[in-house]
Amino acid sequence: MVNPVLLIAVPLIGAFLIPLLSAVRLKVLSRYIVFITSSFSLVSAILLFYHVTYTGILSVSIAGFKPPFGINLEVTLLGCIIVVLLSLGVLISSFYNLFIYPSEPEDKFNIALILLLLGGTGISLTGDMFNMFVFLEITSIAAYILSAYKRNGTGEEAGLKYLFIGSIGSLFFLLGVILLYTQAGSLNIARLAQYSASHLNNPVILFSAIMFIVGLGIEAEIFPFNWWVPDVYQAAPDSISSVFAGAISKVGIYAFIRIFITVFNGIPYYEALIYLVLVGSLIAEGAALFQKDIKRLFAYSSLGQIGFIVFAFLLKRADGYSAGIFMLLNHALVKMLIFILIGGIFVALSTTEIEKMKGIGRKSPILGILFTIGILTLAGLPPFSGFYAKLFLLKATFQHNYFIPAIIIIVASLIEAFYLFRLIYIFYSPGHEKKHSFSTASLATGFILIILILGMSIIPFHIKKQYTDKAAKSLFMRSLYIKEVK
Amino acid sequence: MIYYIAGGGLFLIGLYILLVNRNLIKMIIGLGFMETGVNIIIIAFGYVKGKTAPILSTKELINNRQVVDPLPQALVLTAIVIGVAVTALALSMVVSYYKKRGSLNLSKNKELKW
Amino acid sequence: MNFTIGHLILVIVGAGIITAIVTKFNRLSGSITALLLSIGIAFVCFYPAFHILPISFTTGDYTFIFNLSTLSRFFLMLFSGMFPLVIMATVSTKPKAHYYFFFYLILASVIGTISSQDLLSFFFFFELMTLFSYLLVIYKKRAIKAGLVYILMGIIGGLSLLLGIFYVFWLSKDFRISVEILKGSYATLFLLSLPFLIKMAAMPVHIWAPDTYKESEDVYTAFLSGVLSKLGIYGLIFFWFTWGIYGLSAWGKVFDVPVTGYIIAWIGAITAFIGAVYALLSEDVKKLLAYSSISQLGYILVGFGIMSSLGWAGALYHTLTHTIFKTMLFIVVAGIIFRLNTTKLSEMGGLIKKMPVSFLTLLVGIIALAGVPPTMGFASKYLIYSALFEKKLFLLTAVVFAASTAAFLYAYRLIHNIFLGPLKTSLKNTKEAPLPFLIPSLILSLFLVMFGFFPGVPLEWINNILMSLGMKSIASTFTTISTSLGGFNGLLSSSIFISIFGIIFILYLILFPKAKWVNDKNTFTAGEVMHNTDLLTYSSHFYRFLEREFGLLIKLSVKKLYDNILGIFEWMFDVARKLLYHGNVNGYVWAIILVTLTFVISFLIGGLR
Repeated sequence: MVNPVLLIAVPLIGAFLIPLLSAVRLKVLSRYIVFITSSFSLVSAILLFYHVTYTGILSVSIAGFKPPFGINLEVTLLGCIIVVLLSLGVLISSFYNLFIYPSEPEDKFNIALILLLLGGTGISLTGDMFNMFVFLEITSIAAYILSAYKRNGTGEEAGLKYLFIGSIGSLFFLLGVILLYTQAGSLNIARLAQYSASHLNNPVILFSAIMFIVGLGIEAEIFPFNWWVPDVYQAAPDSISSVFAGAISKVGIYAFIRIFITVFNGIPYYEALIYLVLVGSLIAEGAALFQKDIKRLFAYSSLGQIGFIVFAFLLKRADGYSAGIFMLLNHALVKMLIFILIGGIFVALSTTEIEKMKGIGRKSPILGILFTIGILTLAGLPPFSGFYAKLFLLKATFQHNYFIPAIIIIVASLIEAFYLFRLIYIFYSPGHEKKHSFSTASLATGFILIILILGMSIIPFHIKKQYTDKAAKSLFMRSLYIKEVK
Repeated sequence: MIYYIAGGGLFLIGLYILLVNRNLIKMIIGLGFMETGVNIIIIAFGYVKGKTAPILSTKELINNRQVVDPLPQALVLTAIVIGVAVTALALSMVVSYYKKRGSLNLSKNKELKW
Repeated sequence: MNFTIGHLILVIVGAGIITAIVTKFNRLSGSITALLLSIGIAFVCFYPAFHILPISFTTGDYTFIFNLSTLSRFFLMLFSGMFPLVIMATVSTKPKAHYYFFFYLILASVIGTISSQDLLSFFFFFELMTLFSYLLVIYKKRAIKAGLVYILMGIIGGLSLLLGIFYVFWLSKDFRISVEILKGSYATLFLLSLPFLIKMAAMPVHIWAPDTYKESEDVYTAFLSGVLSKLGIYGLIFFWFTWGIYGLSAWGKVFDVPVTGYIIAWIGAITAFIGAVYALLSEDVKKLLAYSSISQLGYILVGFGIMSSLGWAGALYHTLTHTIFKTMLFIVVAGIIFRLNTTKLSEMGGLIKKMPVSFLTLLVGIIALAGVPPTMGFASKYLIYSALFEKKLFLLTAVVFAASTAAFLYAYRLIHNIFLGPLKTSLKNTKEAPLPFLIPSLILSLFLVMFGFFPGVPLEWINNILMSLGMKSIASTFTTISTSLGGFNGLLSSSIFISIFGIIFILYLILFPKAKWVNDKNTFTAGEVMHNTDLLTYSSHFYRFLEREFGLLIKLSVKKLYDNILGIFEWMFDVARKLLYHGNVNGYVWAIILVTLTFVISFLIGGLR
């Protein structure tokens, strides 16, 4: 077993090492640090996952203080899955950066990327509310930096928008934390869960719940709070968009569901939230129809998918959670793939406008095939894993007797098919005959992800049974979480 | 009580600035107001009248529980640091934005629309 | 020898992979490999000593069952029998590796569809088939736009099927097909029928068909139109049978026909008529055949909608007939296009001497299309019409009859514009279509005529299906079909027809012995010397007088209606996104405040119990 503290400590050491190495003129090495760190995180998170499967939720106290006084880490199955996704995303991104920018990413970029990994890991593993706030801020600040990294005006604009909204969100989160603290007298999530289970009528608790909805809704890109997303995804560097769409949004979702399933289980009006989220997906999918910029299009598509994922978690059933986790995995892999491939296209055409991409599928068949598989997976067509995600989600929806949400999901998938297949249409329609050199880095990275996606498509039921069902069960049994911490 | 009012007031002023102004610098100032407001509210939650700061000076103070709740103060310290970092980052972005676009108004740009 | 359906599907996929690899190295040997393997597969499916066993497996809460019912065995023979013939026609076009790969995958998924006996695997393979078919449609660059419409309609159908399946699941808590589907409502009925109506290109949802058939690769069109569209009627029978005719009758009857079936029959009749009219007026040979295909599938719907054993027998019989003749017509036309490099009717003409075999097969094809002995087209038309008469549906009969009349007209146009009239000067050097096109079309036309003489042979299979579905069988022998309204002897009527034509031909030879071949230029042109004989017969706007009559019909376009509906939705989404994603930070802060306040107020009102 790997000590979960290392998962946070190693990226931190990495982040410190990068400027040090640059100072002693070993800048070449510093580029590999992100790569090494995220590989370490990936491997140890996978090991940790298997460990937690056998032992149940793992509670680690920091510096020897027991939970009510000290800060502790709570390693859950879902947390491990999120860390795996996050470190995979950062790994993919750094792998891509290694090849695509031979001289570039500066230290700042690498430090921010590694801090993103650190913050996200912290959020997924922490068992302490305030700790979560700190990690959330680390993640956000790193994300602001990365989204403005292009420094071409557009980058700063998106970064500033994200910064303002995100700061307001974290202020709300802070208010929520302190309100909870005044009532429960503790910041330990398990303690809070125990407390709030019997005090959900307390208006202060409810008010803090609203604060959390707003604060975490902004981070998790949930419907009425996700305006910043398209701008940021469009303006950020391609590899960063891939991390954002693939991993950081999932970390936000994790924080959201951890708070809302474990702590505020059974707040009133959560059904209203269900419809809000679904209408949000519908609008986002509709907005994607109009996009002329491919990154913005996929940003909107992400918003739609995230709506479904959150909806699955709002179903409050173990199979709903399982479907949500499956969908989350599927969506993360596909979006990473797609944004990495867009990076490859951008290198060749130096544009992200959809209209200028006519015929590239025929010019570069491998890129075309990879992109098509990605799109088919996203559209939820069999035999790809997106289909199984949709299947599990719909099954859970119907078992919970939600008929109208199911119709909304179907309609949204239809809209999705409209813009996704229009993309295939543009990729394969006759276009300019100029030969382009598509970056092998993007294709190589794409291949790794395609193998993962195909793996998921071949053994979806196994993955559901072995991984997502277990994670969902441990998420569903709140008492496990609470008991473990006591 | 006055602390709550002051904190809430600062928060609302900051919010008002953010709601009304389009100038980036002013918006950052508004954000600062909001942060300060929240921090004051947090301190006010932990404050108990007539008790001293939670510094481990003499044993009697601790034993007789003569200190205010130390945790909110720790939180505020962290929050202040974070706030400073965010403000600095925001200002640096604004500088860079102004250099590129020559304007302090975000909504004039048409590139990132809809 | 015994093997399961799983093995069969895996073998077909394997064959596809082998073919693709061989084709990658050498196009010609790849085509031959494809042909040999497809013949092998057809042999496996047909040979009676091979028993294809059911298979089922369970993962988690999902059970997948595959079994071949009598109905699916009929369709299995149809698909696997047509497959090698279509593959044979591809030999001379020398397609790329992925063409064959997708072709085999389509066959595999079709067999998966017809053998699945639970809803989920049915959906899975049905969608797979749509997807692979789409990938094969966009094999040609020109088809990319038509392919978009095709896949979108396919996805609309797929999602409707999915919703219907889940509705059934909601009611019965199981994905297996059970009697509890009976409890389903009109909504389920609609949802579970729409995908198949789309696949059959019935009238309001046919918009994908003409362009897709026109633009897709010529030989593949034969498979798409001739074979794949039959999956629609399979799906309809598969699902509607589960409801049971009596269950459907619970919603009321019109003219002794269940209301739902009556509606389907009208959809079919209108499709048949309007499709035929559009076929009359098309200027493109593939488009003509496409509309003809739409129209003919309308007949199948009419037969299906009557919901009597006679009607279903007619529908199944016409399924067989249409599969054979439409596949054949498209293969023949593909051969002609292969030589001429054009699909415009106005650029063809007078090819009878250049392409005699093609002419002969096309002639047999259009005779079958028109439903005249000595081909099996007569038997299927006969069954459908007698089903109509049995229920006394005269208005419906009139519409169907009008469609048949139009079918005569466009069938004539097909043969006239391609083969008759003077030879176009530009086509002087045309040769007969290559053998790979001729062999399958000859085989198929042989079948058409043979079953015309022995109409009872296919009916024997169809009777088996009807009995397995719990319906009355149609009395028949090898050569005769007899219904409650009388019957006919295929051998006799075909022989009479042939002998009458023979006598007329002989009389013609006797009475006009001096008939001679007139030179193209030997015409009265008021003293002028004709240089351009192409103008002597007209082939563009052949039925201009009908164009005037149906002017209103042509102007009414379903496409525009769909465009308008889509336009409304687009407008709504446009407004929504401009309201929500406006890119102004102040506005976002406003929104945060408003949402927060909404939450607070609603919690204050209702949350504090």
